[in-house]
Amino acid sequence: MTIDLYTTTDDNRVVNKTLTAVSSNITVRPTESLDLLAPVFYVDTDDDYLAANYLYCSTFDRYYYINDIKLETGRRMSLHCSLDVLYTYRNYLSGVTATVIRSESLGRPSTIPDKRLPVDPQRYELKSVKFSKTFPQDINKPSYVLIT
Amino acid sequence: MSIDTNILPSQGTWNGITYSRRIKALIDDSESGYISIVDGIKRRYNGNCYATYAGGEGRVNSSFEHITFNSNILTSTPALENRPVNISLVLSDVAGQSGYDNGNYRATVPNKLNDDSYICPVLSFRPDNICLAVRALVAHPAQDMESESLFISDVAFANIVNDTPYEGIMENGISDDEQYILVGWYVKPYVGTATSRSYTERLGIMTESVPASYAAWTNAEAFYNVYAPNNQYNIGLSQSSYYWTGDYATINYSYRAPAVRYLGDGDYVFDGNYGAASQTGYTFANGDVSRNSWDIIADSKLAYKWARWSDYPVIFPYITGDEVLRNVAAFGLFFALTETAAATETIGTGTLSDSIYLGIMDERGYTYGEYVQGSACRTEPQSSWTDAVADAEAAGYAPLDPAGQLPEPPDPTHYDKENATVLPATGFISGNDLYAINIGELQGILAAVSLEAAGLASQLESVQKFLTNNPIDVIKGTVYYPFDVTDYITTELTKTEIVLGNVSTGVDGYKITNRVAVVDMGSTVYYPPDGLDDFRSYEPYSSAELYLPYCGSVKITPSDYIGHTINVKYLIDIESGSCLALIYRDALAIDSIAGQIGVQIPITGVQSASLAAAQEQANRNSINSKVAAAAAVVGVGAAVFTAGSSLALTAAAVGGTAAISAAASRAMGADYALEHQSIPYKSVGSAGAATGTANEQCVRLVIHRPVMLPNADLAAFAKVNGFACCITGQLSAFSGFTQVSSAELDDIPCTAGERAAILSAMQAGIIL
Repeated sequence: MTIDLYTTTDDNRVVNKTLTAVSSNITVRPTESLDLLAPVFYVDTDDDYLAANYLYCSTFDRYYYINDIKLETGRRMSLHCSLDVLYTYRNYLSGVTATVIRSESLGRPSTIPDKRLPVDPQRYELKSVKFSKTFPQDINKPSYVLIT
Repeated sequence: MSIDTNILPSQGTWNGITYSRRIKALIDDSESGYISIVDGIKRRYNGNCYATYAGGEGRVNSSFEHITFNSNILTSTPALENRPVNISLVLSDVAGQSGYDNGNYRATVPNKLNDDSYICPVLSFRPDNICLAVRALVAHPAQDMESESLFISDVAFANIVNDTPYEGIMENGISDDEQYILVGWYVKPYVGTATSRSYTERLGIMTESVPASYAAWTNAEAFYNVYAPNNQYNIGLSQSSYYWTGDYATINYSYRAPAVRYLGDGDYVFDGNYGAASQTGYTFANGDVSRNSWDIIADSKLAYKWARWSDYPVIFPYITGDEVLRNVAAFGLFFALTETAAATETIGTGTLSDSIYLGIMDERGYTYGEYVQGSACRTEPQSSWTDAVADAEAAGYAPLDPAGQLPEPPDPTHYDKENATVLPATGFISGNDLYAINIGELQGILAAVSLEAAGLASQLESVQKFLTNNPIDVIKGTVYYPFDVTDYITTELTKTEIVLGNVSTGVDGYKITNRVAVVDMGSTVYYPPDGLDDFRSYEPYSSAELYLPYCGSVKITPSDYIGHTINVKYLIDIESGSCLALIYRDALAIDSIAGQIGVQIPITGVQSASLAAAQEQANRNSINSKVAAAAAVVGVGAAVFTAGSSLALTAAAVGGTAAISAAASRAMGADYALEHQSIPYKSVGSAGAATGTANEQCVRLVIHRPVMLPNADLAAFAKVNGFACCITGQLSAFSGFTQVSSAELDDIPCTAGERAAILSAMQAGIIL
């Protein structure tokens, strides 16, 4: 089993993360069962590994966040990880059909009420539009009606 | 390319091309084109007629359209004002003269274009022989937002049509420095067969834009509250107004009418006769448009101003791609968004691609701006019309060029039977007589009655004229209206002398035979402030109200009107002065408010009959008293002479003197009463509230809309929050922060735990 170590500065919510390789093909010898979702990988100690915060496990074919690194006995390090389902399945996500309730790509507020929007609760703008016609008020025209 | 000889009903020939009866009549000058009056509006048919209307009397989607005719090219701006626009295709009957020039020629011939008349749009071509190519006029504002240029851009147009403009500036797919604003459109007619067509200049698309005459212009001037110099009236279809020539890479620009600049504060200035007063092309230099017809108005939206041929400004905000399509759909013809498609794509009943559109017509041949696309066009009846006349008639449509009398054009308010409020055309009248008069005539009536009362020549005349009737009693009331009543009474008005009882006043008034007047107060399109159609523009965030003269203010629900035309009509009971303001969303009245527009005017007059009767009685009293006094003197004398006693004489003398004095006193009192007979006045009516006359006399829409917090950064907000929506679709259509409520994850080859983790992440929000 091998893993590749990376660093990424992207938010965990980002699907298509930008990864910078730290080291690759690092041999891992599991000494106990590995959890698919939150595995702990034991590797030989290398100071360079401390820069990594992300890894790829070829056996699982999955990407993981490195949540914690511990120096263990016997010149070993343990990498405590959690699965990044977003990057792992990034190629599938674009085809997922979903009901989106918030989206940045709208570009502007929609007609759906949005309580998060920073609307000023006190101030209003006022728009006034005059219609095109007016009552002319010309008493020299037949403007009086005599009722008999 | 010559026009296919098969496409016109054969009523005559022109350069080997047959044309319709109507064209023949126009060529022969045997018909003025004036047809009928409906609702007081003259309607006139022109052009080569038959089968399809264009524009349905100018109404598209309940809005009147405003269209210019530019060198065989139609340019339109949507929903400007409630002004009719009239479209027809005209076939030039002068060899070598384009349809455009010919149309203008016709428009300047007096008997072709009557005052206040306009042309009902008609087309005579079988629908599968003509396809309109839609071109868009696009503005490209400079970065400083102070200068613009206009050009034809298929790319920009396609972007605009396919997306929804945002504040007039497209954002999707166009970088900041490539922002476009769609400011107008035009069509080029491609004529030929169902499979191959060519653009022809001989087929002109002519529009008539009122005012078509000096009188109409002056009305329009008042209508728009626009000042125009007295010496600047270019009336009718002046081809010197504006038109585009060339291939649009370089826009040649020619105009004679002065440009009008909108200053943003409600004022206009005329830049004078800028440019040449000839038809020679004027090269459109950078900045010309900015200087003469563009400006940035106060609220930062772009407005576009044409001086046009009658010098009034046409101001409109951006238009949307859909509005363009709806405008063109109003022709009821096939159309395409590219000239290539208009020339080569199959139309009619063949296999139709999605690049072909067709305007939907109702059974009366009217269009509303609805359209279908691609194969759906084949379900519309005109797709299969190969003989425009026979097929249209067979389909139950009313052709505009029948052999006999032309059909009555429909009332524009009837254009959508299901969604239009139709006011009854018949009038109502009570048993009273109503006369429309001006202030001078009113004073004349009262003066006439007073003169009659004061100048009674004889008791006989008094009896004849007054004892049987008090003129002032005949008057039941007088009501003042802030408008010329005769302008809004649709039934025929005749001047009739006003007779009060038996007294002829010598004053003529318009006798009103319809008690209810309808006054159209104009319209506006409800655009939220800044044009932003988001939740903040709706309740409970926004509120809106209409100020309605003489009715007060009424709150309206923004969601009822956003994106629609608000039109206000007053139904006025001329007799009582009460009114009901109908508030229309497009053609359908959905709100109303009652008010009092007529101001009751109290009238005080001499109650002449009473005066005459009192005078008569006083006369009788005077006569009787004098007779009695004389009798008293005679009686006293007799008593003296018969008594023979000095004492008695003295006493009788004293008593007789007293009796004579009393009788004389009564006689004098009767004279005094006769001479000092008080005039019995009578007041009719009471003073009605006139405060409404001092308030604003036009309808006003006021919109309150919340603003963002100071320093709010929407872009930053969107990055971490996104904007609320409810859209179901593939995530590939979204970008940036995206939050979902539910998702279909079946196709992902993952474990159940992973699937749950994916859904959880999506529900918390991911960044695509």
